[in-house]
Amino acid sequence: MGGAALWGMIAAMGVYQGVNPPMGWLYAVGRGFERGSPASVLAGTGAFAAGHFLAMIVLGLPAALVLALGRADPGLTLPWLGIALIVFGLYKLAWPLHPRLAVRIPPSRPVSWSFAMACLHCGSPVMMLMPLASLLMLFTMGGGAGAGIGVRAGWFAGAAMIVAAVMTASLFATASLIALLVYRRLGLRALTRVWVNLDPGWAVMFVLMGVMALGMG
Amino acid sequence: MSLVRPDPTFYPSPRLAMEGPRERLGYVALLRPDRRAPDAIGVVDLDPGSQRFGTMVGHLPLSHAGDELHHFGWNACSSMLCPMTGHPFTERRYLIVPGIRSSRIYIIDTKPDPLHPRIVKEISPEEVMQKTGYSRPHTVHCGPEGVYISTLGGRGERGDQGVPGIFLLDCESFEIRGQWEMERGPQTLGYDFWWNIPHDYMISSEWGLPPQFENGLVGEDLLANRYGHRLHFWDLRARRHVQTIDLGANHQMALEVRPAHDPKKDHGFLGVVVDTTNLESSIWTFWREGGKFHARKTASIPPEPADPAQLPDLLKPFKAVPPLVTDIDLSLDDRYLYASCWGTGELRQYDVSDPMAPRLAGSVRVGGIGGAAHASGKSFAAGPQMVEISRDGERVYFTNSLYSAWDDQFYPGGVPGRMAMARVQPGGGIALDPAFLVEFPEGYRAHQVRLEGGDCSTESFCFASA
Repeated sequence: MGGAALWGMIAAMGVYQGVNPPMGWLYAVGRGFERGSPASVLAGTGAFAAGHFLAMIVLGLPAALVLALGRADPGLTLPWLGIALIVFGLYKLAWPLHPRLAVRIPPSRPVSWSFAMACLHCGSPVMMLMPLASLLMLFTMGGGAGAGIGVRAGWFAGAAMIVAAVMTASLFATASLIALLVYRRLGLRALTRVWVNLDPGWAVMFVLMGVMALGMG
Repeated sequence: MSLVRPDPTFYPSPRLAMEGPRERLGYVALLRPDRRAPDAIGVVDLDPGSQRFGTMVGHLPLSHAGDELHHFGWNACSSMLCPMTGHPFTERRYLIVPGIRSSRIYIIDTKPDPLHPRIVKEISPEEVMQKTGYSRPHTVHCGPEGVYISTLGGRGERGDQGVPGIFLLDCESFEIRGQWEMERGPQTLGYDFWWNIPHDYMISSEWGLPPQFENGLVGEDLLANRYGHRLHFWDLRARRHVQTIDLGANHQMALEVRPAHDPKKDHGFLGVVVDTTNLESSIWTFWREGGKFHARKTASIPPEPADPAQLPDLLKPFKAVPPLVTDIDLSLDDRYLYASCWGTGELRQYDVSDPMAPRLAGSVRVGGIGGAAHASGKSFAAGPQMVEISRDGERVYFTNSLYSAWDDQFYPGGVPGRMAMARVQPGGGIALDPAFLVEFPEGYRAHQVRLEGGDCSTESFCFASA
């Protein structure tokens, strides 16, 4: 899989998460109807996107730095990552559990809620490791193979940041679009009509990503 | 059992719930005070197009005698759509039915045949006690962390060792998950509770400990103002007590808590059974302002003078009938508050468009210690008690039993189970439907009513009515 395809995949995952109601647009719509302004809708999706961004950074940045300092080929991690993603996906399919910890986070703290959900329930930070490791592998296979440790670390960390940023931007854009559409045009009645259970699909995505990781590795 | 789409009986806002299809069935808690046979859940046909409209069309006897059914609720409701706590793909399907006397909890499946519900699980009183330390389960609400159940009793045979509280039940496995409270503050009595989910607070109220009600109303305790008279406010997610409001010790028995359904509003109502200085019942409005909760008496209902010869022994010295407001219910548009005056036999409709100034908009008289007949000409013992309003706000159903031991004190002539209905007139006013009077089988009394697809005392919403 080439670099362009990987970036496309990262953006597509953001779209999928953005479409998923609990990942931002639902909260933003509720906030909009309570406060009566489109700005509050965007503040809502923004808070959720920020929580997701932080979760991806918290896992992705240290992972990238470890790979950079380890000097090994990042591609070597792909088989292990693949197995982990497949196991996690199958587990989510078999036991579609409700998140329990996140319900204790007050609604006044949407960034924390989104952060906790990303880490504990969706697992997007883990999923993002697959395109990240693949991009890093392409880098080392390409011109980056002989780079010094500083350059390598900088490049790896930068890649982790950009992967998280692209995913977040696409999540934010998608969630905001849907939230504004429901808030301004479709109304609350549309809410239960457009809401489908995306959790099984997300679990399947984990399995597919895992298979792809095995193929890349 | 996860669904692909949210259950169609979940509504984002109160307004959308009002616009949904009308109820076709009602489930009614039927108790056997003689304890010779188990209590039952009755199924009443509420479909006006049906031949059997206004009759009991199904009947599920429970498995033990003497549970004393009282309040009950659904495993899932509109709160399942809440943005940060929802379980939108859980079905509204199971009734959670506690026995207030036995502390046993039945899980009853209303599908596939809603006319013939089935018991799918029983939680023993021992298990409730072992996992929660509470007894005498009362109000059931579905919310952020699953099913919440309030209790009236603590440990011990009499339920007065330790403090009652609220516990959690998983909304799908029906496993008890333990006490809800992390910090209960000064709360020592329990009764009803409800919340505003997006604004993240809970309100709870106080009746009394089991020895104060299980064998009947204790006159000395009432005259000494020993029943509950406080409201408690809680941080819902943190499960922490944040504030107490004492209504004054003379305001005995602070029962039903009815917050506004529109989550944008920060007010609600409370019914108080009796003021020991003058036998009045009262309606209180509570509200949140500046980070604090406040409450004020906004309506009172006076007692009615009566000939002592007509009164039960308990009331003879007072030469009057107290109204005994023992249930209140708020329509989904937050416009009308209904108060049942179980002593005087009146159902009152208040226009609460201005929550600080309820205005009496309608009233019907039936039963009561004076004994007014039903509009159909048939007898109606006791008075309007548990009230349930249709989602569209056009019909108000009510039953007539309060609590077995108290029924016997106030209505020693007996309280045969009845369910009546008042129709709401556009712009206010209510009238009894003379054609609607459900007569439950001999030996049963009727308490809470739950409407198919949710009603005005089960649904909590997270989206403001747009």
